[in-house]
Amino acid sequence: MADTLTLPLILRMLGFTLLGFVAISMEIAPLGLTANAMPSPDILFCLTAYCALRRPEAVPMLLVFALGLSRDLLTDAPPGAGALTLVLAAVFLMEARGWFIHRPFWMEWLCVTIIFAATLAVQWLLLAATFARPAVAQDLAWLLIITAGSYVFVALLLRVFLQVGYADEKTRLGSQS
Amino acid sequence: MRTSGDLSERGLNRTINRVLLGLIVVISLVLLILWRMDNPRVERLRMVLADALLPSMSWTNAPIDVGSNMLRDYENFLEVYEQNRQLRREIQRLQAWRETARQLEEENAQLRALNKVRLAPRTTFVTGDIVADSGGPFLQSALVNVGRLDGVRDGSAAVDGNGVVGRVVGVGERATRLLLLTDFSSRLPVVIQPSGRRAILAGDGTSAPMIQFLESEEQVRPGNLVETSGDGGVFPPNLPVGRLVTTNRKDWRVILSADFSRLEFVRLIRYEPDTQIDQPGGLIVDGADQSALETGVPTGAEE
Repeated sequence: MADTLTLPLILRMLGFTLLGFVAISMEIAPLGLTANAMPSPDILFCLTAYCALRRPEAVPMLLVFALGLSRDLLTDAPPGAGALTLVLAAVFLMEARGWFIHRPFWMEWLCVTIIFAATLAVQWLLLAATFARPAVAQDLAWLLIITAGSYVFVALLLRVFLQVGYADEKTRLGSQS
Repeated sequence: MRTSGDLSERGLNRTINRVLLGLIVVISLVLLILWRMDNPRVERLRMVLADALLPSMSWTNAPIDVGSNMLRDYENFLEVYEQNRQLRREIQRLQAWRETARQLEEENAQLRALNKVRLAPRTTFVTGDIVADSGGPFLQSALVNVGRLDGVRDGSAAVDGNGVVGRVVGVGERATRLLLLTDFSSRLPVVIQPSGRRAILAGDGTSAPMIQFLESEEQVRPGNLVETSGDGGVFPPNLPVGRLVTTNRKDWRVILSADFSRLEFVRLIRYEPDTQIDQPGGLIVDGADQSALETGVPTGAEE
């Protein structure tokens, strides 16, 4: 919201939307319909977290909410719960991005995993508070592990193929100091 | 050096962001509450979105399908020796059964002729491709690429080649949402054969759903066939569901016949149960005859 809408910014937002849509498509691909199948990784969360830290201007709150809600509706998840926690995680990461810029990637990975665990806990609490059946803890644990693993791949793909990184920020911060 | 204009702009943006966040929180909670209240608008919203995004989903699924098919073919190749042995044993067993089945068929035909058994209600089906699954830990459901335009109705049974898979819980124009039998909220009236005991099959998130409200455990044995009972008139009766097993905790479970690991296509059954005439309101007669029907006196008897 802070920046005026310029063509490059619009293109970045479109790029994020497109990638978000691809992430949702991958999550809902019918790969495992058995009851004991592994849950799909939350690729949309990985994408949002990575972009919120590196391209916060391309990740506006409403867009994140729209993508999160679309995912909730398409995956039959409790509508609103996933979208809300995704927005809260993105806002938190955007606020804290100054701290992340000069930290090593493993620390970012750890923090993003903790934040994802917090989003799962909030969803669990929301369901429990509305007397809905919360997901089984074992399934949530698998989701956390798989998503944490996927974050590395998402980060690698975005860094190597789409050149989404901190490079500009570090240069700018370096010249200011 | 930041000017006061920059600072006030930042402050304004911060305020806008906070208002937006508050709005998002409110909308999310309202949606969640509506969903918990089983408000039909939420289901309609799901199906509208599925209708809109289904064509693009099919496009993105194509490469994933190719990959998963390659993996499946490789697995099949590895299993082929064991499968061959199993098939030989199965053929031997089936040869014995074939003769029994032929005899039973003859006997059944004779009994039907004697009893004037009613013909089965009209049942048709439409086959669809599974294009999406929930993928998450919250619900076990799938999205199929046929909808209201293909004649799918809410509540219809979904089967694969072996047995019941689930039921339709949401219908869009071109998409249908299936709730799988393994989901926590799935309940299905079943009958256990050959004893004929009725029960409810309740999903609990495992691959072998539980049997609840079993009439009586008398004559019920592990390995018994579990079929749909048709109670409620939503599902047709006698669709195969699975085989009964018992666990260490003395509860009954069902190993489902449907092969969920290879589920690509499903048949959605359009079932029309028998018409039951339980009141005279449906008969087309003129007024005088109608009053005669109600009083039980024929019109000719008055003269």
